[in-house]
Amino acid sequence: MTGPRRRIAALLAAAATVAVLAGCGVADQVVGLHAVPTEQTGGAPLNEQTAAAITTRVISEAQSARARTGAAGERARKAVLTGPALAMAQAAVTSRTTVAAPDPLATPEAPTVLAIVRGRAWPRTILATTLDAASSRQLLHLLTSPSPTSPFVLVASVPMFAGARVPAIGPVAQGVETVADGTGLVAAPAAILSEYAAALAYPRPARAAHVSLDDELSRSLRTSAAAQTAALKKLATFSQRQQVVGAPTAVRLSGGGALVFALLVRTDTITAASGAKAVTVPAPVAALLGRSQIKRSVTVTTVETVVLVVPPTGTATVIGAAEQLASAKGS
Amino acid sequence: MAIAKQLLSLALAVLGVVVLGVGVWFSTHLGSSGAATFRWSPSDTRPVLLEPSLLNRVDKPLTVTVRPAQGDSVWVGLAAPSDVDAAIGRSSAARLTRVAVRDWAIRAERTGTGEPAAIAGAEIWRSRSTSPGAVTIPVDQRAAPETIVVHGERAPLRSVTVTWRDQTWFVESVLLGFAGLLLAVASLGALVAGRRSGRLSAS
Repeated sequence: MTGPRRRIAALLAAAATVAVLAGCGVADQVVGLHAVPTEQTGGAPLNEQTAAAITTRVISEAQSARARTGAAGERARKAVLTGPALAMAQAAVTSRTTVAAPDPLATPEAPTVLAIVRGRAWPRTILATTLDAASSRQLLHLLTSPSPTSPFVLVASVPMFAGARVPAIGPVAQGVETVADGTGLVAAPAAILSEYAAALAYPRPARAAHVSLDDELSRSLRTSAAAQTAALKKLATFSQRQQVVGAPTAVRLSGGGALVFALLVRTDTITAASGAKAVTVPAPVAALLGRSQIKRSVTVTTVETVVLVVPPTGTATVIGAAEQLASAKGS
Repeated sequence: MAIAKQLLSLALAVLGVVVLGVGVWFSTHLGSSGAATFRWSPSDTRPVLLEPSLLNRVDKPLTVTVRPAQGDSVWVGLAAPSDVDAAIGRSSAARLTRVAVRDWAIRAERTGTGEPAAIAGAEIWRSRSTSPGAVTIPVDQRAAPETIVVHGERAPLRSVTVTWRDQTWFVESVLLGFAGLLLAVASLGALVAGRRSGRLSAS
């Protein structure tokens, strides 16, 4: 091949190569091919409708599981309940007592999702609310999914006190943070709960610096303890102590505070005085114990789920609580 | 110089024929509706993931059609890609990642080992359903990126088909073929005319 022919052939080859490469680019342009859009990972991992549907399913299944008996019932409860909700349901079964009204799992109105913990990691958490039409009480429900292949289960269902309210949390789509320690709070939720438990002890309550005792549960317990002491007169003594069980679950409020769910176990003890032949115990305890009188002592265990609002400054407030008689032992 | 012109005409004629062939090939496959359809058939029951690199690289709605084995049902879930990856983990799955236009087929990668993950119980899905018979899933691009997961309830799926539809693609492919035809005819004409004028000047 001569020089000019070789050059022409080379030019043609180059032109063909450029045409093929340009053709690929043109094809991409024609169909509008672009890079895969980036996934947004900052907000809530579920949309509000999906979270509401999940809440409805979980509450319904929890109610159904609570009504079942025997080993199948226990399996069903463990499949859909965890933490405080499971403790409350198991307590109702072992004590053969009904749930005090308003029942948080009674067929609710359609739930409203208040918050979803943000991010793509697990465990995932949903906070929702329903309204108990009979009592006009608002109920708070906390749900969690521990792993990608685990469905959501109920952590807690708690009626709010009359007149109590949950401070602003922010748009659901933005998601909320979980709170693990006391950063930005008047004190760590776990410390505040310990303080609250100690402050509810009877007859020697500790001083509470970071939590208010002017809530429905505190007032009720103080009144009840005083009434029982008065009723027992000198025949027996009444004491009460509270213990925090497990770690609380807390989500950040938009004002910087936290909404905290926790499980407490209350132990009421009636101890007969040395001179007393027999002491008559209150009717609910007698029903649980199987007899109305004791000679030495009786210990009654009650599980309680509480919800607190912990602010950045000032004092924490308990805004809702549920309690369930668990067991009684006496002699 | 005359030889150079003839060579150039010949090259352009060949290019015209190639472009004509490409245009005819595209217009035949797309049809008058401009439907670009790509198909894949699984060989086992592992979950099939249609990934964002397949679904969300073109700003056009598409449809995914899943055909189960005779008498079987199809489970379909749609979720955020990272959620699906977390749920599938290292378990076995078939990932449909892109299309191969030359074969009008979908490229698949088999990943993971062992039993498929229990994804049906996971609560990561923006939507999920189980339907008897073939299922058509419309996908718009508003919630992109998304991953679709499908699997047969009892047996391997018969096929997974993805279709993009744009009538302008058919028009463009016809125009491409026409342009190739014009180029080929003009170049061949120039080539013939060149050879004639060469012979005349030689005689």
